Amino acid sequence: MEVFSRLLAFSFWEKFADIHGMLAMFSLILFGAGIVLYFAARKSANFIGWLKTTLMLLFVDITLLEIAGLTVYIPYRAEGGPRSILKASEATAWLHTDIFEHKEFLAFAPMLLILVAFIVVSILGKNFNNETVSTLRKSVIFSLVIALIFVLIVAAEGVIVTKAAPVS
Amino acid sequence: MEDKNDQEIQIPQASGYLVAAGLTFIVFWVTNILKESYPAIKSFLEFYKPIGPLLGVFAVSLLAFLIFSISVMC
Repeated sequence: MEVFSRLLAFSFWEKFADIHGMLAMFSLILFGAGIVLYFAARKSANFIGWLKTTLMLLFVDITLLEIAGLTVYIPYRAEGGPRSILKASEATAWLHTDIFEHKEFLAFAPMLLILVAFIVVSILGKNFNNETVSTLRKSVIFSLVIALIFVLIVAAEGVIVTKAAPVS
Repeated sequence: MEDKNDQEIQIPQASGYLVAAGLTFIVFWVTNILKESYPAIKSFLEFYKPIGPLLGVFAVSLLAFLIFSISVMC
């Protein structure tokens, strides 16, 4: 019980930042499901609908992740917040100017990549396994893998920054 | 025959969305460069001060995707 009372004692922004991280972790499960379902759909057309649903859920999750990420900017940029702490020391300034700046811009790509993958799968529908659309089909797995790599990089950069100056 | 007609319609439409996404990424990085180069653009993109110009960059890019997508559908 003490664990729960300590968790509840976290500030609003600490809880919010944790939910932001949880959404990122949830996306990894959906990425795994999406990649597996892509290959399952290649073997059986029955899985095309599942792939479409997974991509839609992944898009919703990443969109919520982006909205939460932008919202966490409020305490991050606030006076005396993590950004000020990091920029105050020469030893940690690079964590904001290089790592965080890189993270915030890389984060835009996965949302759009997954949206387009969802649209392509929706448009192809039952023709997903047709050889005349092989390039379009490959764009789906390409988008999934690249978006996953980007999310992993962004998550790693988020952890690096948070360890030095957590949101509180 | 019906399948072939379906594909004839689908391939350009699906490809169009891929092109729309590619163009959106171009809008995204160009907006970023402009934001860093010109303080006026940076301040214009600050739709909500506590979040900063990133919100504006995202909004402009998503608007661009919407416009490109509408042109694909037409």
